[in-house]
Amino acid sequence: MKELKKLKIKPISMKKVQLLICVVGLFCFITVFGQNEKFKALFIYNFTNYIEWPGGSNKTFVIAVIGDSPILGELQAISKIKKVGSLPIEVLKVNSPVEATNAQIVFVPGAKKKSLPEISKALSGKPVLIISDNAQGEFGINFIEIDQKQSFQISKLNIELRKMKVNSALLALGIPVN
Amino acid sequence: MKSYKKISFKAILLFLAFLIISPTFGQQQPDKNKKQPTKDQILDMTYEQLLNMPFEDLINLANIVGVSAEELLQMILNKEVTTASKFKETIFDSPLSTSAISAEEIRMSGANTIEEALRLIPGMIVREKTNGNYDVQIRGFDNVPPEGFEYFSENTISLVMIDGIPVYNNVNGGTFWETLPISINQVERIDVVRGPASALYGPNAASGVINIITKQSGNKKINVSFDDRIGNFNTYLGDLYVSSKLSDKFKITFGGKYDYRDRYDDKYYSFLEGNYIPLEDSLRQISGLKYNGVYNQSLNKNEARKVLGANINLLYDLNKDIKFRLSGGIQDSKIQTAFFENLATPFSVRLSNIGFLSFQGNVKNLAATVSYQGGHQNLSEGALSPVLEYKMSNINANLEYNFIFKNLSVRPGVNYQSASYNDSKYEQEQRLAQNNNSVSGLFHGAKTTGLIAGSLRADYKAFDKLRLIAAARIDNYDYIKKNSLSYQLIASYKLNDNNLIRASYAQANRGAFVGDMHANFTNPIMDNSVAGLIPHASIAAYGAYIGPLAALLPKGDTIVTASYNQYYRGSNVSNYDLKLLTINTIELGWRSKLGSKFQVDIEGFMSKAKDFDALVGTVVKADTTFYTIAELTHGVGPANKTPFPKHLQFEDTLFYHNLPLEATQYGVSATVNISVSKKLQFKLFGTWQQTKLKNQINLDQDTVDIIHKNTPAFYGGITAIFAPTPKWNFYLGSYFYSNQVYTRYWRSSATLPATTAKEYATDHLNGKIILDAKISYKFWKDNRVYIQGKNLLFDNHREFGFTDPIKSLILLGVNFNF
Repeated sequence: MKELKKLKIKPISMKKVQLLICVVGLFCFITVFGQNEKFKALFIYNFTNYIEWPGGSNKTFVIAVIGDSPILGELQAISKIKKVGSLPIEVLKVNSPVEATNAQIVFVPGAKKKSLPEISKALSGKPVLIISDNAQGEFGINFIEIDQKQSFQISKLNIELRKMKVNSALLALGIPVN
Repeated sequence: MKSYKKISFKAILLFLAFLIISPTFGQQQPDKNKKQPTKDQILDMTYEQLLNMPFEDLINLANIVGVSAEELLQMILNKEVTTASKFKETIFDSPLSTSAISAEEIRMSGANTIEEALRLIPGMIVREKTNGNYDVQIRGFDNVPPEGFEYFSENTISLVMIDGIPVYNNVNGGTFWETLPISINQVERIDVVRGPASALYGPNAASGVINIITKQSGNKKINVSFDDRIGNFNTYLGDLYVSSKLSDKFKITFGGKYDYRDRYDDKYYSFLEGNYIPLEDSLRQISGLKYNGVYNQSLNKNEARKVLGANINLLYDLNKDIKFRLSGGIQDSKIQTAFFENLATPFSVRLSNIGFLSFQGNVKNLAATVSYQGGHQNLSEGALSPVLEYKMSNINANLEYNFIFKNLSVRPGVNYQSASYNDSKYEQEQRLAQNNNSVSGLFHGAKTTGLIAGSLRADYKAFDKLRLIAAARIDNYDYIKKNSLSYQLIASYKLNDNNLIRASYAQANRGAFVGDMHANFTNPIMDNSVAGLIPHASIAAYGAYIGPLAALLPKGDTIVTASYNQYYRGSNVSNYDLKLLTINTIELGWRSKLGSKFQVDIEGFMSKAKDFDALVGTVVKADTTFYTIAELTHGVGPANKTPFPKHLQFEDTLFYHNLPLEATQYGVSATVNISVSKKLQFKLFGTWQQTKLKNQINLDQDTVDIIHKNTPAFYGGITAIFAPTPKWNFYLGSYFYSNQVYTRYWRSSATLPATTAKEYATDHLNGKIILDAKISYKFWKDNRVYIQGKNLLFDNHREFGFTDPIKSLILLGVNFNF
């Protein structure tokens, strides 16, 4: 304590210390594992193997992400390694669905899930696979956690309404919904 | 026809049996055989590997890595360990009191050294002495018996290993942590087993085992990890780990480190002053003057730690059954800490230049290890007599075979150990330098100790739930007459998938070390030094008693010099039949997963320790034909003594002897983990214990029963990690312990033995909460910058008797991985 006084730092009482430990402890026992975003990005890439988009003259395969999300970095890492068919992958961060009309996939992060109806409407009729995260509404695929295990819902109807075809193997891997 | 019928009947039976069993094979067997990768293995995978696997497999890996609370419990709390029973098993299934920390936890916690990382493990008492230099104990029995020298407060009853190879020193059986040649970045996992385990691992596993397991290479062709930290108190820490997978079978790894730090304070504790004083004054208190001069010149009062280490490992895995590993390493270290005291202050400087070479081979169930460690060490740089510098070479060879008969495995083994120490060269050098042939080294020549041991271990699993283990080992030590027996009887019972109860009874012993056996030196406490001055008035007063003889007395003040030699003798030197310290422990434990979110691990233990040994003194032998100073100064004394001699001669001898002391420890450790979801985790651990000492002979030669207060009654920790995004990591950890009282022997060297005024030094240490934090930011791929703080409650109290005040350390660091 003498040293503290020399440093002009007010000594901390034991009660305060205990309180600090409890408060900081409770706050900090929150552990988030960022690996989820990596696996979601890997899932998104894998989805492209099971979905068939109508033919077009695209030079790139565009994955648009609405808003800021850690998944952007993960998707970009994949885009450097893999192609979809013969098309190089282009990952775009967009602020509104209007900017994503040329995309083949639009990812709606959990933070933007309330905008899903609006996004779906803006991309109405376009061959865009809308992938949402823990959302409800008109998605093609929606990431969910069941029993705290990563899974996904898949709507064959919504995908086919947008003129894409889905391989039945993907329906078996996910949870089909309508 | 009859036989045909028999055959067909048997065939039908077999077919029916197959039908009944087949669903079991069809559904469960593949799961048992299919080894799930661990989280760490998955995280080690590259994008290429993950992108090229079938989607089904990827989904499976995703489930393992990041989502399930149950999986999290399994992977974070129930790591696979190998140290508890030499089998791979989860901590939950471990039959002993076992804990482990992973490389990831170590990295996130910001632990700078292995010793610091041990604060994350239940049951560990870890106290910092000077910046970066720690006292590390498992459960306690530290500084038993109390009131000994600093040297005897070291933990010499725990077995520390790197990849299963013992690394304790053979002088006293303690671990010189700075001499471990591996870097913290190289550590894959640290397993700790609390409680005796000599039957499984050999000498010194009396209070427990710390097994440091190193990384064996990643999956990439080449992995490089570099970590650099800079902080206050001139702290510079660097750490490099490189691994390369040259082929599917051949891997090579390299680890290197540097660790430079200043002390938190440049003063030294002086026993005589009872306070911290500057270097010069402190060392002047030594009447023998042997530590002055050279000591002052070579000693950097600011330096706490200067450590360099490097190692290289070649791993050849022909297949899963045949594996070989060749490792080599060197280290160079200089630390200033409380260890080999010099009667003025507990501080000394320890130098080590050590190399090691080891070979480990596994061919199916046969496991062989041969290791060599050799080099040069000086336990107290600058000490002129005794000379504490020596060369050493240690050899350890171990062979075990694991016979497996269904649910029973039987593991016989043999072990050979040899330790050779030689201080002749350094003793001779000092004799020439000081022109004094009475200068002696610690061992006074070349000395060895060794052992041959046989062990047998049986592990039986009955109906999947009950596990019974029995192990025994007999050690035949050089210079110890009686073979020592250590054993373990262990039972664990899985009540269901979520509850396991266990019980064990074990006996283990400390090893026999060169210091205990062969110490043979003289400590010249006073060597023709000025012992006092007799004023002429006293002489004149004395003259009144002796009549005409008074004419022969000196005419003025008279200076009296004295020599005082203290002899130290190991048990072998004095031909004493030393018994090795033995600890018997009974333990009960319960582990429970309360749902998928809570896990509790509680262990209760009672340990009894006996056959402690210590340096036991004889009565001071003085030349009785001379007067004591007190007699001379007061001018009185028996007439048959020579009046007013100009020189006095004293000596006493300290032997390594067993003590009647018995220590009993009762304790409970608890660890609580709560994993509310993947986002919420809670971990808290603590140990309560009490140690009673019976037949403790204190320095007044009274036999007393006391409560031992050097081991904190309560100690434990809390750790937490907060990772709001993949780029940011926040760590907060606290290690705490309650009050302690450290008591040690000291003899004021400024007074002669006959007039010794005080022989105890006691330090009351306050309980402390040590709060550490680390903030780390991943700026690109797997590369990070970070800031970390230690002791952030600014509690500068010292953590160990008479050592430095422990201040706060702030470090900035960068970590590259590619």
